[in-house]
Amino acid sequence: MAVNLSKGGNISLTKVAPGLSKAVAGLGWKPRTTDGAAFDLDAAALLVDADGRALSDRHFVFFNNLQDPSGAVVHQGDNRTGDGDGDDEQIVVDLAALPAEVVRVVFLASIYEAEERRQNFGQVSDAYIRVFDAEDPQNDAKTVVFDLGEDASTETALVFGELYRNGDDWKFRAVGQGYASGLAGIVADYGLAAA
Amino acid sequence: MSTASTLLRGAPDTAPVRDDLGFLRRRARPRAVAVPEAPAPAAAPDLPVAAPSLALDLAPPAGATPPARPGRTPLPPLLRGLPGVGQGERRLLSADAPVVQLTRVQTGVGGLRGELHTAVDASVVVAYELADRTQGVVRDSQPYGPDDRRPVVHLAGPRFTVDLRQARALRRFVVVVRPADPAGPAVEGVLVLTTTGSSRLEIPLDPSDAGRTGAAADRTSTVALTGHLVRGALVLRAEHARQVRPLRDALAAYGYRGLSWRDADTVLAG
Repeated sequence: MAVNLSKGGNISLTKVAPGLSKAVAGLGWKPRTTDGAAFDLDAAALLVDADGRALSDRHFVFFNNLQDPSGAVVHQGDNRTGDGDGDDEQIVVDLAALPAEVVRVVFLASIYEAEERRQNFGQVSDAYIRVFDAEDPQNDAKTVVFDLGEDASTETALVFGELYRNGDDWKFRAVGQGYASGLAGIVADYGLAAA
Repeated sequence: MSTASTLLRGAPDTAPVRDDLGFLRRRARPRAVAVPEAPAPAAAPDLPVAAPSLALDLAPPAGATPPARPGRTPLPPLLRGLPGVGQGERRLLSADAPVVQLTRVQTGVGGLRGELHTAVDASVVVAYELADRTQGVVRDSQPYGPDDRRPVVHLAGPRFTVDLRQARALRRFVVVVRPADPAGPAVEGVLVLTTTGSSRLEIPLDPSDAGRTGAAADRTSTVALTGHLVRGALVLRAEHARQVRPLRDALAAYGYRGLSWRDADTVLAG
């Protein structure tokens, strides 16, 4: 059975999936109601240092920058893969290859042009993030899931969860933090210029 | 012709270079490539009989170099030598410094909005080319391109928006400004671009930047701005000193020849 986290909870990945070297973060959601305008939800990852800032703007992995300079974090693009049943987007993280300065990998999703299209996470249901072993994707026992439920309403961007170092260990924390300022707001919060 | 004694001249690293083989194109010996040292295997953890948890160490043992990661191609680097623009910065794109290159983050987040400020009535035409090489035009009578469901370019009066979420589907675009009065002079004013991070790029439209061609009866078109998506980054260039009369010629001069025209000034719908 997959381990289910509640908001704010955290778990050690090495305890859940011993020997884990490559983790996949899968994000999923269902748009509930729209007024016909396209609903663009994009997953992204930020590689954050000990000061809580992204290392550089090349360390923001999203649809226009599919991997970070070290190649450890790779965005799989918009396409669904056969392995990620139900995941809308996936980001693969090679834990051993992450640079030492990276203390956290933050996973987020945002609704593109949300203000212009008057969309928000209140129109999204069944949002979740799950982290599983890339080498053993079907193994539920090695999977951690955080269901975001239907908390967010006016927010247009959401930090789903984050991987973080704990000594030599990697842990996952369920965050569920919404931003009404959208992707630009999150990006600015982590020290990047959206210019 | 080589004899048997010349066939074996020693180990590949130490043997002298062969120059008697005419078919051997490469004379220099390739440099030896250092093979990355494989990390020493981690010491097996001691398993206490009673405790259920294992202290598995994910970090490589001290002193070992991480193994080379095969098959990782880095993203192509952005073009060098082009100035960027900071958040909240206001920049005038003059004839001396007409180019700005946005970063990949700036190119992907939000939208690029342009607004034309003029004293006389003027219209904006935006021609674009998508990644699959289809070209299209957005103008007053056709304000969404390529279609109204997911427009990449949207025009409303003097304002246009380029949806940067679809930046990967876009290859390039050009913004042309024309006076509403067909017999009027070239438009004077300023085109202001704003990004989500509140950067502001201003492109002055000075009618004295003239390079006129074409018959006097045609309407003057001023090419104000070109944008190119290069390796995931948007490069914007203020086009000064370009005024070509008919719209068709103005766009053809920038490589937009995949459009159908009813006459030199009127492009067919779509």
